[in-house]
Amino acid sequence: MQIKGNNHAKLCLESRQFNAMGSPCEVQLYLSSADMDIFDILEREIKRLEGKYSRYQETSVVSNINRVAKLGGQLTVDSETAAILQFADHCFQSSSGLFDITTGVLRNAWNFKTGIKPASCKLNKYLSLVGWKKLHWQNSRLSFPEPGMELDFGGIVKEYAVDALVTLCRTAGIESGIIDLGGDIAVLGPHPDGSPWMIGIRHPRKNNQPILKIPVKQGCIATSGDYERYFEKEGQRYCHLLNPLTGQPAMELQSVSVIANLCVIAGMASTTSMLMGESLAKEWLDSLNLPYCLINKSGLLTSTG
Amino acid sequence: MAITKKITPTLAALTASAAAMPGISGFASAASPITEPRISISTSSYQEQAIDGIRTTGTDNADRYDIEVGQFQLVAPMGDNAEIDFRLAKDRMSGASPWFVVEGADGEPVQVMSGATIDDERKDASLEYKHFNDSSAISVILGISSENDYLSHNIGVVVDQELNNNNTTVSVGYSFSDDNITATDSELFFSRPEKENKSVQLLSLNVSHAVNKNLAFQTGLSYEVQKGFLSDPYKLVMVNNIPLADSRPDSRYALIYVANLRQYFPKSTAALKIDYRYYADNWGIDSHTLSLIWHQNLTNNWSVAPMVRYYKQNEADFFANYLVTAENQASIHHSSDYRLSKFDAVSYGLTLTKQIGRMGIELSAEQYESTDSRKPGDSRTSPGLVDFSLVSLSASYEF
Repeated sequence: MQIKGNNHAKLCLESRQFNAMGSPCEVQLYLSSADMDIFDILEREIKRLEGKYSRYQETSVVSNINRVAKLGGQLTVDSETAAILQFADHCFQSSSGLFDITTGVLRNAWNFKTGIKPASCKLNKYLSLVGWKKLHWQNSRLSFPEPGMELDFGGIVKEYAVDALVTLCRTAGIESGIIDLGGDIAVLGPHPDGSPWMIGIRHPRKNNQPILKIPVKQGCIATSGDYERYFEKEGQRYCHLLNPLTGQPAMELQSVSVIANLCVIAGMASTTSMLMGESLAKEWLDSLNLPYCLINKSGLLTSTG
Repeated sequence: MAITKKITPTLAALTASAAAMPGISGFASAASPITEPRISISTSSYQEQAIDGIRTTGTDNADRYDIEVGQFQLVAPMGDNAEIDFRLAKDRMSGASPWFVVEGADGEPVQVMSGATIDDERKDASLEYKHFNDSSAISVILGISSENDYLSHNIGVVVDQELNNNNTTVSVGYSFSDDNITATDSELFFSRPEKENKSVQLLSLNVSHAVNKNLAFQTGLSYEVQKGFLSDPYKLVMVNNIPLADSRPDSRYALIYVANLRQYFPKSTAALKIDYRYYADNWGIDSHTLSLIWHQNLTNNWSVAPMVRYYKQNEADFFANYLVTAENQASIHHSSDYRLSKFDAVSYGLTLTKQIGRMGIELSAEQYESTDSRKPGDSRTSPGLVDFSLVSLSASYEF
């Protein structure tokens, strides 16, 4: 038997692909042959988080919360969910209210399948149900004073899953590899020869084509773009990233990728930047000292770091 | 591109709250209910080694206790905020046990064993209900234990409160046990009482603290009060060559301090556990226990954990192998029970575990040896000190 992490002699690059959280996922790790069961452990953790935080699963914690939210009322959540809410609260504070997990209810106003802009009265009706500050939250007690609100962990959980997989890999002594859950990416460490991984930033207008490849030795990268769900009307693109203050889609940027130590940070920063618009986003990302790659409305790329 | 830029205060605050999420910290919070039921069964074999040069009465059977233990445990969630933990155990013991000590030909104390082989069966059941609130939990434990000469009922309550962002847990517990002893063959042996009772109360306070994600510390203080019949009805003491019943005070007050440290080494996927326990009571016994366990994860879901433990205790004020006194000067309390004598013990063991999907298998072995540091004529140490080996195999399944 061999102790993990103490032997670099026979490391091979192994990979596994699977679908989770509505996205194609790929994990590539440098392993000794005996460590292959790490992939099962990682997949189990993603499925656990998916089962717990998916809006589409009736039995999920989120569905449970939203059943209470719909009618108004209160409930106690488990400690993991409480920690995620605590993080969501910090995201709300540091994004001047732009990163708000109560925004999801606006999906009832915007229908990206039919491609019709909502009437302002309809939009205002749902906008009145948006606002993290409207709900009361302390420790693990969550209360919705008014009925009709919704929580959506979609902007946090996939990134959280990336970070959780990183923790599991590190615990197993794995030092080199890359985790990609539908474009939310973590680099555990460089290739065993010390060279960086080349991470492609997707071209916002050309599906499956990188616009840029950046070398990363360690860290996480998350991208938000206007290309995932959208419709176009009179030359204007309306995407699924909705501003919780105005109810309007992000208009000024095609995509923003942010690099950070944790994927949840990179994810919240890229989403918030999309909603801020070009000049505010640059200023804000610079103030946070986070490296980024931003593509504006005209397709012009700005990259720092 | 590497993240070498200086971290700003806003980013530091965000990172801190992100890192508190259990998937990232790698720390599942202590006070959270389980989500899936789990059953485990185990079987153990405990064997005491025979004492060299012992003297037995009646037969030549000098074997000490062999105990076979079977255990069953079910832990299951009860709704979103509670869980139950149900345990059943059945022990089968057979063998001889130390009876009294006589002075040997060369002045050495010699242990006399109970001649007849003792056969007994112990059945034990307990049910714990644990309810989780916002940042606290309360448990109620009910238990019953029976042997053919013994029946014990116990109840306990534990309250856990999480503080300091769940990094610190304070637990306060109280338990009460009511035990009835109906010694066998009391009509044959003058020294055995027909029916006796004792009670045990334990109050404890524990604080555990996660210093960082790799280091946890726990410390606790307990106070135990035992009242009633605390003697061993099956043991005798030779006083002036007359066998008298084991006789101990009818109250015992003990203070117990524990300190545990757990350091995790992520690079080598290993953990070091250091446990210390101090015990002192009004019978004059004090003891120190120090144990070290190295838990090492290996490939293919194997793990191995070698253990070493050192134990040292002083004898009780009224311990004597045998007593020779001036007439009418014999003390009221006297016992030749080796467990009340002065001794050191070292035990070492190894636990091997393997996870296969949802099934966990654990094999462990322990060897316990009382070190014979007795000098000739040292009356504080018993000749009946025990050495034993313990082998157990358990399997658990999580649904």
